[in-house]
Amino acid sequence: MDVELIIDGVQVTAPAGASVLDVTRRAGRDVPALCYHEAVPAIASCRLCLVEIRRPGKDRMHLTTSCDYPASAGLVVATDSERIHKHRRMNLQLLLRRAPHAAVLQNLAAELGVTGPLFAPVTDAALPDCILCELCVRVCSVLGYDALAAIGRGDTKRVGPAFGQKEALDCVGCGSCREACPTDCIPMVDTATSRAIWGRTFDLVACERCGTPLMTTAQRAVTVARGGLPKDEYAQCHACKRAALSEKLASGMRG
Amino acid sequence: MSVRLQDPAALTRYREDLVAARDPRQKALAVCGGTGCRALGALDVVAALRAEVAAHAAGCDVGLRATGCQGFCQGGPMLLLVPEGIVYQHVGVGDVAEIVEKTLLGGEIVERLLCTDPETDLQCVREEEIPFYQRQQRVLLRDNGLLDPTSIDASIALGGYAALARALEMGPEAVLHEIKRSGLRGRGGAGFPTGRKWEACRRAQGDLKYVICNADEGDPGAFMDDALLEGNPHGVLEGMIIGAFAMGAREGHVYVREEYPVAVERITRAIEQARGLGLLGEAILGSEFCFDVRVSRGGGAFVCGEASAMMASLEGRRGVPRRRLTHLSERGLWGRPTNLNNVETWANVPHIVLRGADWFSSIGTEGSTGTKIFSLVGKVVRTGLVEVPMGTTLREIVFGAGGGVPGGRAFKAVQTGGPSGGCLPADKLDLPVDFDTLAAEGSMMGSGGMIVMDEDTCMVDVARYFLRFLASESCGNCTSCRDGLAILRDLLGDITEGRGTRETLTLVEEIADTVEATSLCALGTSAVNPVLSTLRYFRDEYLAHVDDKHCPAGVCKALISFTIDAERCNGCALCAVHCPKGAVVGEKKRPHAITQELCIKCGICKDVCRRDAVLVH
Amino acid sequence: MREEDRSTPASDAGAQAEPSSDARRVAALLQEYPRGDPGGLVDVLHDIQAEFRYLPEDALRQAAQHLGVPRAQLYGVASFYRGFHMSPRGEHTCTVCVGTACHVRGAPRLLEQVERDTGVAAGATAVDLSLTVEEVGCVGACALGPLVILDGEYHGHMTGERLSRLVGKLVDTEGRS
Repeated sequence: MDVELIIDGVQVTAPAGASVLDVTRRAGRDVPALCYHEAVPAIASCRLCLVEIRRPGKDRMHLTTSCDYPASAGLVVATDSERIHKHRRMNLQLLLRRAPHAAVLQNLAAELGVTGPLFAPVTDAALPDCILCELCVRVCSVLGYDALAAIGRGDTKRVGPAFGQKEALDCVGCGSCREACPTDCIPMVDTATSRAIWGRTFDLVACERCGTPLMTTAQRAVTVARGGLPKDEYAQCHACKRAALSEKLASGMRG
Repeated sequence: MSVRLQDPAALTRYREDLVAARDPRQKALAVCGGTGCRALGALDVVAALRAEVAAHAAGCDVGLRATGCQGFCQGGPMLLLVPEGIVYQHVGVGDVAEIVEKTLLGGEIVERLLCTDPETDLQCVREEEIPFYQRQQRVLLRDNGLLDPTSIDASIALGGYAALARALEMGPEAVLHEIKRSGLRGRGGAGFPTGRKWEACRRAQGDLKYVICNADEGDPGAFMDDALLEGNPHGVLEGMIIGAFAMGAREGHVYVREEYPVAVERITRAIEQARGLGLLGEAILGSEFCFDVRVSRGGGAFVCGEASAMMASLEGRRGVPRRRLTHLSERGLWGRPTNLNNVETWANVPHIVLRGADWFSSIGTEGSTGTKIFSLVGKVVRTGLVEVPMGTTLREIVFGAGGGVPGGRAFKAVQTGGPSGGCLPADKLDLPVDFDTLAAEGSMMGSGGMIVMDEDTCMVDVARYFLRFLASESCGNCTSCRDGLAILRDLLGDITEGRGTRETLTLVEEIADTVEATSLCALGTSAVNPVLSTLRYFRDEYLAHVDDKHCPAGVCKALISFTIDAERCNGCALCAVHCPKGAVVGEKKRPHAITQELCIKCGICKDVCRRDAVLVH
Repeated sequence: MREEDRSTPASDAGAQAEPSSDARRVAALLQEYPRGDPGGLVDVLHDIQAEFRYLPEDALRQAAQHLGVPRAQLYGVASFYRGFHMSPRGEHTCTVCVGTACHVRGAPRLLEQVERDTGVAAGATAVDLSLTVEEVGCVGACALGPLVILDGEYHGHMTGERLSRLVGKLVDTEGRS
């Protein structure tokens, strides 16, 4: 079911229950958000995606995070106010303290007119430049591996493998956490034949035609088990598979 | 071994039999066995009394019980002699022989054990004469002194579960209506109208509904819920059963913080006993109503006092609050309709059902009906639990029941509402305590913790204390709360250690603004109340710390120094002996002196000095 | 239901062998909780801790399997709560209440004194496992503040002098207990 809302004075149609962050972005409004990914549940951790909203029948605008706020009929949304900018800048300063080297934060700082860091950077974090958004944890969980967890709480909270170990025992080396990480702070080192991540080393399977690393053997084992397809389905990269298929079709047509 | 009561009439007969079997003239010795009195040796007193009675009063049929907290913690261990109603305070094992011989057998009073009214200097014999109790209206705590909390029979004899029987007769809608009419508001701190909350749960869609008793009581300095659970667990349980009936809930949880092991034990036993009698489980008192309760322990997290975090904990997850887009009464525990209420809220329910909404709303004020239990602690003469009608002023509680500040020191502030509340100064003492008035002044009533502070308390140190606490209790989800509070804690550390400037104060206010405006849950949004209220009312203390690097209250170690007053010092060298750093020098019998470079400001010298010769600047 | 453990064989050395006596103790505790129901997780952790005085890693793995919870997640839950300890505790415990009421009555100085006298910081355990020192937020004996709990016994109206004596009795502050 679709609903009508008003975003910065403009009427917009969106599916009921859609994330207001998504809706504002599709409407072309610029709302930063670091801990949000449409494939995983929103936890509204970074506190950057602030907007002001007013529900029908109410008279005041309220400041709220938008990633976890559902679109509903008659909702009035403002993405651009002094209040929003003031608090967004402060939360950005708090994030910069944790992730002083993160390009995404520095770019955002430049955009918002934040001139210099307000707080001395945190230096003793287990994972430098981690903003504790838990995207890695959530992604790993949605993929079914659950190799990572949020550990502890408060300002000593960190993300990492079970039992505080360096090695993530349930990790298959898929690298999705690294892909999802907004500050690119998860170390992963690939060679032609191996991948090192979360304290583990995995063998990389390479495309049998062109030699591009495809996935780890551990990830392939799980994928095979889940998908029910034979192992050789994963012997080639997509480009080579398409090429092989074209050749087969071409030879079939010729023959 | 017990027999299930088949219907309300059976319960009535059971009660009548219990009452008939008791001789109202039977003597009993009720020793307060609350946490505080236990810490002062109350259980040893009970054991000594048992031995003494067996040895010297074997013929005398005297009951002996340890009760729950009676609230007069300052006088602990407390002893109540029934039926005379004589109250003895500070009872020790050494007093037992005299009590049995003189009072129990001889009918005489042991005067040195009586409480004294400090205003008249008259001795008080009975509870009604004691000023601490006189100033109170004890609806919820009254039974704490009268019953053995490990006995369901004791509760039933005093009227326990009569309200449940009445509720079953009334039917769920009528019970709901009565709770709404009473004006009861949640006692956990938020003060949401209980009847409305119950109604939302009742009307919510779903076959399986839950009720939860929030016994997480995380506010440091608050122990009202502990006293209720330890002292009258059936009173709380009965309230939950009635509520479950009214809302159509089939399962309940009592979530008790793990720091309260005795409360866990008492409510667990109470549940087993209630099941045994058919007051819990299938076909309660022969009706169609089925309901059962489990006890769950907290793991040690203040944030789990927040309803959605508590539910996360009950679901086996990290206690991270979630945003409430739908009410928990519609989608709560396991996504099902859930009603969560505080211990004290549940405890009020049987009273309202039995005595009526009109009676309840005649107590207190229009917007805040009924009584409230306050835990009055800190720099106050009579610390303990004070139950008074809503609308009683701070002054009446602190100076009336509480007896004011000890040692002739000057009152400075009272902290209400725990870490979510604020500190109010002397000129706010005439404010009535209720759900709305204190909030307008920068504090809140909260769950009932009331901490009195005097001229020797540094308000900047208090703000730092609360920020340290809250930063460590933050679940860590939100950047603003997690990192904002950590920085505020560090900035307050700077101020108390002499590194603060005016700019520090400005930065504190700026960060506090964002923490309040952009945190997801009430822990974050209210975490700034202690620092903002102290900045508002005690700004001069902050300015002394940042401008003059001076702590007027003499607390902040980096800003104070200890010296010895040569005129008062008699050279006994006690301080020198106890000084952990050997910083005190001097010849025997000659005035001593403290070597400042070695002094770590631990204060032990001041503690041990018998001549008040150690000065703090 | 979760997938089976996919860990490397080395870390699961004992999994298929004869269950150790510790594993049997854990299994007995877990029996009280329905298999595959994560709701009892926090209570399970309490039971394990009561049995072993801390949360051994193997016990946590067993619990994760029984409750149907991924072990990283279970560890994440256990680590969230202050009441759970991942390393062995001391034979004796000295807990200083640092609730607000005790704080205004001088608890911080008492805590510092204990740390100084014993050489064990709050939250830590002595190297020889003789003593653990901790702070607690409030135990409900506020009228008696400042309050210190020594091996489960509550001591109110604590002073520096008495504390030295009491801690000294528990654990010889020169290192023997």
